[in-house]
Amino acid sequence: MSAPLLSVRGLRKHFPIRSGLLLRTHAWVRAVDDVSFSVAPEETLGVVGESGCGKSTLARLILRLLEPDAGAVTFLGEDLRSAGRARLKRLRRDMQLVFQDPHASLNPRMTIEDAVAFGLTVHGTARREARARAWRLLERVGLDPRLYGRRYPHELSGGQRQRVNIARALVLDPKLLVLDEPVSGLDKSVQAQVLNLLQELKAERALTCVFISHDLNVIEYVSGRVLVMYLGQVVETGSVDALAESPKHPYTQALFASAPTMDPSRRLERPPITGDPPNPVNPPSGCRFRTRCAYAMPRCAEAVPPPILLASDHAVACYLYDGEAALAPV
Amino acid sequence: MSLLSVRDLRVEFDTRDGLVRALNGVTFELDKGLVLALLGESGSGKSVTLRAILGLHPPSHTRISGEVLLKDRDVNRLDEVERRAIRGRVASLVFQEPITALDPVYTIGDQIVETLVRHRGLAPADARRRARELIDLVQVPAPERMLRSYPHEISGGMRQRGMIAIALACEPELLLADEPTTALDVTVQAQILWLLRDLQRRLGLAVVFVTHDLGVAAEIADEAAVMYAGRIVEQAPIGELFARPAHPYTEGLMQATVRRGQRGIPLVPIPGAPPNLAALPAGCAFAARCRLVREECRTTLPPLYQVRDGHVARCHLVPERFGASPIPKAASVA
Repeated sequence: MSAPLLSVRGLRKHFPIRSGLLLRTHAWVRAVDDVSFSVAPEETLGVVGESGCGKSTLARLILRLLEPDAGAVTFLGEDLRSAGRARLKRLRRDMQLVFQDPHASLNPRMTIEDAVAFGLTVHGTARREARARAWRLLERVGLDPRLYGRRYPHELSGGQRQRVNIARALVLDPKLLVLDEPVSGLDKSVQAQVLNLLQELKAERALTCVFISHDLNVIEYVSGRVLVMYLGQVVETGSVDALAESPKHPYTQALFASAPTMDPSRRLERPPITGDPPNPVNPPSGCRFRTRCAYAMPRCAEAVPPPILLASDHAVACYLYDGEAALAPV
Repeated sequence: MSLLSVRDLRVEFDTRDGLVRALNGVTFELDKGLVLALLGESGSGKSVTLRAILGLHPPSHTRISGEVLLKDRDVNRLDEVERRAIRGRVASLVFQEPITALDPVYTIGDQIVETLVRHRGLAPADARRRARELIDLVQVPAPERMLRSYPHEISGGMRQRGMIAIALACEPELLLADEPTTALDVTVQAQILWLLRDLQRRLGLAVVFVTHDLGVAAEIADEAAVMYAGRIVEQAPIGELFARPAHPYTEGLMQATVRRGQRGIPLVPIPGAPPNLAALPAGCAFAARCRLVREECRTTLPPLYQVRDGHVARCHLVPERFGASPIPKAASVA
């Protein structure tokens, strides 16, 4: 693998829960706990997990929109912790975020063309030039700028707003795109339009992507490699083929087995696992999945299982595979 | 006699943007013990249909015509007192977001007990005993704790189980479920779908299940009606619908949905967006997005054609594509 474009080591973010008169901290939400991975140039890493697994916090930590409590994010060979304000601003041109809710993330009082051109003007491009580039991008994402440029977000459908968001993220020609549930709120017919557009743009612009979604089918469709998160921790990583063909972690297996089959003759016999994901406030000790795991052993409660390398690009954090292969290098 | 019979149901909303024609002649029947999925995207009219079955649309700003026969009584002709007697006891509703449907200041137990006391006239002690039975029915691991919990203290899956327990409190024959698993995680969705299917079988319930998700419909439904712009455009037994979709919209939805093993195969999206319900076209509402469109589609609303036994589709091209003939008006299901 070539040198990674993005590398994340031991990333941690805990949010305090404060209450009472003195706003004392009485609990911590362990949103992201010791997460490490890297993304090669032009690769798409899919991050999949259920609510509360920390995937959106991870997106914000990667772009340093949130300060991590511990750990390092290295982007283009540069440690973001040591980057000053000006340097960070420059680096952020190369890393852009597309949010889930395109309505909440667009300024309701800004026209579409201004919203797309805004990033350019912030970074010092002249207004006229910024608008010309915004128009070209709107055209590319399938919105005729003569028709839509002067409209406001509320005049657009959900799919059109997400196209505006994509244009806005791409106007600065970034190298890395972090997409947080970009197609979740969309109807299926529109979702397919946006997914196809993203695949085209990725190829045209040689983009590197971190694609976050709760939808395993979408993740499998867009990703080269997949990272499965559960309650703030990585439980399995691997190539999409390895994961889809033989998921190893009991949670990954349950996730795949829970997805509807789209085949009325092959319905689920029984739910693959019981219970809901626990609250990320004060999660279970050791392996956080053990409270829902059919294979849980006493040692699962004692310590967090380290990632075990099963193949060159397939690692699982589960004691069931202890002794099967070498420990993964951290 | 069917448990539920909906005939030429039309619902129009008076809004600032003009008259929104949300339902434009919906007709279907549902027998005891069967699950019908109403399948469609946002704005197709599936939730409006569900609310109309219970007469929940506010009379001001709403114009309703057509019939909704619940056990042979037309909901549209009942007064509010009579409707209230139907709600819960004949048909009850499960919502998408139990957190907004449940009362935040009462425990789950209190809310079940209140339902039983008010609608069934049980004495408080009996109601509490029955509440415990209902919680067992929806398979909660810690029933006593569940009864004592406020909605915010339990997980989304448990809240939805609580919602289902309340919906079943008055022993309805028909359950109306409005996207009950859409807000849940996929591992929890699998549990709730399985629970609903299990309860439906054991209690012999009829269910109208509203969903936008083909995969969910495939898991739960005996039969599916696909809705578009306030009309049923195709209806068939669920296996038949997946094996032989006959309406270009249904085919389009299936091709646009990402499936397992789709990697490397481009999705075929449906171009464009659904029509404005305040300005519906004269002919087929799907014509502007249809890959098979021809002139008559733009001018004439297609009738329902029979594709096979029990399988109908509202498309001018059905006769030549499937060798079917239009259904005689008298025997028509629409």
